[in-house]
Amino acid sequence: MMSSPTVFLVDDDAAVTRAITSLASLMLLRILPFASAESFLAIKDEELQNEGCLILDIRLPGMSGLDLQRTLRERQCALPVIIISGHADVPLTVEAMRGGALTVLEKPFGLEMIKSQILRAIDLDHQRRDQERQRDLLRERLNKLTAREREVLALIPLGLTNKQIAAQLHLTLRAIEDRRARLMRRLGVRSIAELLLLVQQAQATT
Amino acid sequence: MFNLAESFFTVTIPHMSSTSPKASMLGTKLQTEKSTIIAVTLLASLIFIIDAFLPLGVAGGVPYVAVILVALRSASARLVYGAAATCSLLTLVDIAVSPGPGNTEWWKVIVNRCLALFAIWVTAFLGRQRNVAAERQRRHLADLAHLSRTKTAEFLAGSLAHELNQPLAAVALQAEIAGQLLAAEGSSSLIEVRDLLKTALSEIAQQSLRASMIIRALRDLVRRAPSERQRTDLNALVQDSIRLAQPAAAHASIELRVFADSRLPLIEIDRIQIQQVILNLLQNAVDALVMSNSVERLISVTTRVSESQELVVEISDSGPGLSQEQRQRLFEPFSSTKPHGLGLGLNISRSIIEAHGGRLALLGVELETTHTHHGTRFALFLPSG
Repeated sequence: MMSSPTVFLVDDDAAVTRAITSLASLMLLRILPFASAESFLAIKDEELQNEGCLILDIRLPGMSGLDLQRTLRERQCALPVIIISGHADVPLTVEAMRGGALTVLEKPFGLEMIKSQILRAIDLDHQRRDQERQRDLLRERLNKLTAREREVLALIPLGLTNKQIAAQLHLTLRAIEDRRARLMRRLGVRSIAELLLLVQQAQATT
Repeated sequence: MFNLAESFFTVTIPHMSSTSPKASMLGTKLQTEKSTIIAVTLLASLIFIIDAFLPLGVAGGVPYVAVILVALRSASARLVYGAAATCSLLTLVDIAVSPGPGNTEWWKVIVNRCLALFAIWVTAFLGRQRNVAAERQRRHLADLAHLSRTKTAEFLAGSLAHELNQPLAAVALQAEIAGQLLAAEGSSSLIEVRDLLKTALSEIAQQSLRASMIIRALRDLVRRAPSERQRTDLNALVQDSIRLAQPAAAHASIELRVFADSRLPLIEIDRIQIQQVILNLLQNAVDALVMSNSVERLISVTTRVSESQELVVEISDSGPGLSQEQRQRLFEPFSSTKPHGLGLGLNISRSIIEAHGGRLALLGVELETTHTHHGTRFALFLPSG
């Protein structure tokens, strides 16, 4: 699972690809170069499970870089994207940034510039994956609750008192107090504040 | 007479043929000038000798007109008027050396001689006027060609700038990588660092050359060069043009295919102008494919020798082809199907090809029944000799 971060590079220019490949090996990163958007899309999903980032040229034969960016978004691939272009005019840059690109670099660019952007992208991807993993754990824990406990949990964030919850669920106050204590124990939270935070984190979208 | 003098000249001064294209170009120009002078001298001498043996009553001065016609092959006014003056002098000198008036009255002799002078000078003047007009027209075409060439350059410039940034990006990165390798020399094995450095440096050298080639190609295109003809490899010219148009085509996801006939002989042409025609046809093909949003995007460029020994460059695209109306207005100036077209490209292209004694034609206009083989097919024919 934790192999070294991967830089995916989609650029049709062989010289630029060679230069960025050298750079990646200098940074001790794994690099997978592709000459077209289509060949990148043909790779297996497992490859994309790796932590990393995508360096994408806008002008490509066949499918363009912006189209690839769109396709990835539709497929809910959250890999951070660094756009590189030989001619980054304003409309293109705006479209790329609006499409969620981390940054747009115009060729030629300095080594430090691309290096720092790659590191930043990988760092962001790392953080995102961490959060996702945590959220998955939380969801798992929430899923372990019984249906009755979940009934109660759904009403707590609405700010209802135990009495009100009891009334709404047609149960005794005692039963609600019991369930509430049990679910807090199961989720490993000690206060209502912690419980609310946990629910919020679990509900956060990708 | 003229050809004889020309071959005579090449035999006597063989060292005139130089290897540099510019020098050889200048050489050919000088050679034509000199061979014209020799032809003029020989012809004038011949006429003078014949005239000297004829009685003065015969209008022996009139054939000097032929000398003027030969002199007019040169663009130099000095040569033409010099020849006219020399012929006039010879006409008058003949009065002294000829066997005498025979049985013609002297006043008729004088009138005959004056008529000869008149014919010589009228020919010289009218001929010069024609030459000047032709020269002006040629320059006019060159100006127009330059104008349309800058349009073509504009079309190519964006994609070429993009193309230029690729090698520059590689150079910039590799240079910095080399610097970092040097800085990190101590930490990893020396041999490995040396290999990586070697790669980076050779990559820098190669990509710099690539960048300079792109710049040179563009510079040649926009240079306002005087019209010069030189012996050219048409296939190489086609390859150069393809290299210029490639980025623009790639940008539009168009595949460019070249089928070059390697048996093509060298041909004496104005390189820049013929390249302009090829680029213009390529640009039209790219535009046609982009505007029609064709699914199949292919442009093929073919060179061959026709049955009548003409050199042919054929450019065809997989676009929707031309309508009957477009075909009729094809070469009409200021008629364009493009939103920002000047409508001069094909018109100027045709003028250029015709100035080379060739022709520019739309091929395959007969409607084909199958829908797979539509598209536009242009061909330029250039005489090989």
